[in-house]
Amino acid sequence: MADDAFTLLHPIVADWCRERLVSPTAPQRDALPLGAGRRSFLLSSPTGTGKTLAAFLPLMSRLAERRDADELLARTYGLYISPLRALSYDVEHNLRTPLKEMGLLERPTSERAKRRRGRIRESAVRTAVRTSDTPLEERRLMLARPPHLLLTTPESLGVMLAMDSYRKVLRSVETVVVDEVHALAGNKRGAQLSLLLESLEQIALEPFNRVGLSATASPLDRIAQFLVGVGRPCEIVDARGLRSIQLRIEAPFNGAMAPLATVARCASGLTRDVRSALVFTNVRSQAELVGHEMAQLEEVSQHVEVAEPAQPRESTRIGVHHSALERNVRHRIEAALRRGELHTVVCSSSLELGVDIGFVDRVLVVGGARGITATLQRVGRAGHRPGAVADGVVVAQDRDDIIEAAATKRCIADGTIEEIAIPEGPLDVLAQWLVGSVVPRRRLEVSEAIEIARRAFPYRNLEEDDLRACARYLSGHGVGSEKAHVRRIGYDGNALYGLGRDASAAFFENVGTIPDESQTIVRARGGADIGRVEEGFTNELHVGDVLLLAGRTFAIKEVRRAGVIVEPVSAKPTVPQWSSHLKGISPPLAREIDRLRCGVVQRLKTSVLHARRWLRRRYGLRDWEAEHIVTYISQQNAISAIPQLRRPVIEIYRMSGRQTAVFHTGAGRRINETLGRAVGARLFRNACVNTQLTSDDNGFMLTLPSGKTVPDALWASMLCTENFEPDLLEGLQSSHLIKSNFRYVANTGLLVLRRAGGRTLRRRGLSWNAGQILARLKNADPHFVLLRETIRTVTRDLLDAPGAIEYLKAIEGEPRVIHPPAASPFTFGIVTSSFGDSIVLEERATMVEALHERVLALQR
Amino acid sequence: MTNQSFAQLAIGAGVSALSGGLLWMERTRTLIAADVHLGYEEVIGGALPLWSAAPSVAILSSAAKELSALEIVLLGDVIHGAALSPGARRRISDVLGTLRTFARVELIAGNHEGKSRGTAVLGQTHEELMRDDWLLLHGDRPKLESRAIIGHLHPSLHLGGDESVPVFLASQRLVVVPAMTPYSRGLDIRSEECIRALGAWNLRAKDVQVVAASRAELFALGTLSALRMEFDRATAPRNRFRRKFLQPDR
Repeated sequence: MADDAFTLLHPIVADWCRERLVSPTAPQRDALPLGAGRRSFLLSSPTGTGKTLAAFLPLMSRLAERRDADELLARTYGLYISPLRALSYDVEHNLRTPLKEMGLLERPTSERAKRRRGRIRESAVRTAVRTSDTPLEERRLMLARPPHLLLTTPESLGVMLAMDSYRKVLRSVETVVVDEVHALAGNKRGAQLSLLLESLEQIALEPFNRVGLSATASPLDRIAQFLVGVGRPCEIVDARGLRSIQLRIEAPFNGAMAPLATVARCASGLTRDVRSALVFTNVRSQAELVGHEMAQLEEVSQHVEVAEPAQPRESTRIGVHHSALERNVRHRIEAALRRGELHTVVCSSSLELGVDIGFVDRVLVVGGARGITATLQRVGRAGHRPGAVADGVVVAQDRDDIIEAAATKRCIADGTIEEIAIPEGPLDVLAQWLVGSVVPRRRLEVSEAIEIARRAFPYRNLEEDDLRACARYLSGHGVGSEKAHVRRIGYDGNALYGLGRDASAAFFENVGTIPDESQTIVRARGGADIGRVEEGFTNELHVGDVLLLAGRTFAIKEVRRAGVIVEPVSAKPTVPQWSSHLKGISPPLAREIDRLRCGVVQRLKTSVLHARRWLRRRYGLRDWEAEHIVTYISQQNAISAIPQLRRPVIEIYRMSGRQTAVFHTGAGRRINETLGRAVGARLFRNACVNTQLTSDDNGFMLTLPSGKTVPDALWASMLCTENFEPDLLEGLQSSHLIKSNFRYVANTGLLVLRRAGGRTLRRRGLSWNAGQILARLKNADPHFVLLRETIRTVTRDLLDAPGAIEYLKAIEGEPRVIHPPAASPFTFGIVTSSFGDSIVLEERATMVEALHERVLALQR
Repeated sequence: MTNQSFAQLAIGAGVSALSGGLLWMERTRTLIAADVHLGYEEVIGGALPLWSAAPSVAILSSAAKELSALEIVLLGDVIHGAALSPGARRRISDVLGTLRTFARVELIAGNHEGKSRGTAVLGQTHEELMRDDWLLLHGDRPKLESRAIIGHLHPSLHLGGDESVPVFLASQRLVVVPAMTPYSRGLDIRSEECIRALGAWNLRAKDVQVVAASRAELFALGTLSALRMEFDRATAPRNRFRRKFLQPDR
């Protein structure tokens, strides 16, 4: 029977399911029995396959049973945790409807009734969301009338678990649902959550089951372990292959790269025959530019009469969405897309996660998503209903994008996806958890703290010394020989204890692990906030510059510390956008790209036709795209050589008279950046030169100071495994990466606060040098826990030291050193990215074409 | 005397710059330091030792001893803020106590002392003092009636990266003493902000002499206007979209 799984549920829940869902989806069929049996499980299936209900139906069923037995108390039974606040609100909305239709939901009561305390025995179910946005009044109500289903974020859970009042409410939790586990497992928020769930285990009346939901995640067994903690069983429901995805590749250019206008025109064309579309770009600035271009094309196509002086208007059919926009602007766009009022939304990765935006018919990925999972997530936004084929198109901007998209397509077909690396015991997070575990006046034995923490998967190998080191600095023992006077908690060698309300304020004001990037608000003159730009970027803005934000152009009127004041204008943007971190490709994708390149080279020995046919067969490419790849690779082969993962190529050039080496590794941005830093340190030691580093997915580029040269043999010897980690650390010394991440680590570890006394403690960029604190710390104790954590974060989470070592170990023989007669095609990307974001896309395409011309001239 | 560890350079009527960023008034034997910002580590919310206190005391006391100073004047922003733990307050009292064993200590309140003028932590503070016809004050609010010695601006010369060197700015009517705190990178004297700040004191760059102070030496760098021109030439206008092309390496 199709609805077998439903019969496990309480009759009213089962009836509702039969009426509304008709039959369970595959993941529901597998997950409902597990949930009904209160077993922990990780459910991985694509967006739109009924995951959320699969997790909540058993919970609803149990609530109904409790009600029938008159055992529904004013307690929280179900806890839902998601990485996004917005997602919690969406999910609450999606739960209230079924609960209402089942007749389980508490009816809206009068304001006065709401203020009454919850009864001991209740007759209906309440839900509530508690995030940092929740008003104080509602939080108070929540304590008086605890919600049976509570939806929250890891940070808010941290606050609640540190408060006696909430601890009472949370003791009865039976099921914890963690949504989008993959978005948490790989970062410090996940580490924080894993510790918090262990704290919850401590106070829970009986063990609760944990349910993890994830669209695409790998490796499932590790993520399952992360979800449930050490030594607890977890079932895995793997329905990842459930949705079919159709991925096409469009390369709208003849030469080497498509100018932005062409990309936008292509995107416009691809969205015309559908009712709604999402256009993903890799960086926020690109979202703005593409959105702007598309809106202009839209206007032209509609023949808008411009009778009066051109008034800058917001496009009514095209919206822009990214994380630098103000929340209300973002919400407006999301709502408009949901209601079908907007035809196209151009976004950065901001709409990748599960915020409810309803259906879109087609997803475009401009330039490629730099990842298999990211591609699946993005394209999964299309055809948002079970069974529908998700329609995705990659709009390649250059030839590397075509190769990347082809390799991604192959990986998806093979079922290969990236593995999430779970951070290994971040100590700053541990320190914050220790404080949260004893405030305001609780006591925790060191032995017990270790036992609890080691049950959290990221901390399974936690050393007692590290925990004690955290306790020492938190309890005012300072760093090195000098003592500090501020104590966050007390520590007597055996136990940690809270020091009362005042000392605990620091914890409550600074809970969380999300880095607080200093940002400056952009505000319309005499009007509302529009968005934010990074503080560093503000310093480069001048009055009169024209900036693109939220898809509109604004002239800058004033640049103040408190904010940038702008006025809408109709003009071409003059300043490039804020800097942003580009994502890099992952090892499995890098391997597939390597396979593709080598495969083409091999087949080119026979004939061009042979190579093209192979590309068509293995990667499902059309002639146009296959032709591009073949030309690209044969150009590179003619002028230099094709780098392979095991046989890198080093090309030596001059750039503005300075010797420049491009290391073609094909290992992906993270590994390249890591290698580049270590090689930089090695060059300094061996040749006394300081180098400038640029890296991208294909390789990294080092530029020497003018007048300096390095012999080929030395270049070739740079890629050895010996002493790699020390060299990397040397290369990172006093780097911006270490400094900025130390700040985040010190904030998370509550060594230096972000907020105190109700205000943000901002180190004013220009005159105060936070780097000095770092220098002092190093001086006082080079092995200080948070210094070690900073290095771990930088070399493991941001860069990839283990991956780099693995890469170096796999190299066979000496790298080839080549002096090409002109910039080889594989360097085009890295040369243009050496400009950072300070170059507009338009400019980039022109440059690439100019470089391409030289290659063509050589071949003639 | 050659065995002096503090270099001296006259920069105004009766006042000399000392290496280490201190100012010396020979007639009244007054040693002046600006912007010590004690307690910075805590005011930024840090559970950190007050690392900067000891080195600041060490410089001040060795200068006071060497020059047989009669008084030490701290020119405002003695503390970074008043939100300090009882332990830090005690530590700051100890610091001042140590200085008092060498000379009389007078404290001027600055903007960081806030509305309470720092009295809770520092005891008595002054708004301004008169010494040898020089008005000593913090300088966050310009006073033009008399010649003045101020701090507040943290004048420094920025060299690339995070590096900077503290400098004195000196004219007939105004002497600006560099900040003593190691945590401040200082205000770059070539910046427009600095020129504006000097403008508020009715000063122009061509009338201002610059003296850089390292721990052991002083360097007279000429007028601020000449220095600005020098640096402008060195750093030719950079095109924001300057093109770089890879050329063959021959």
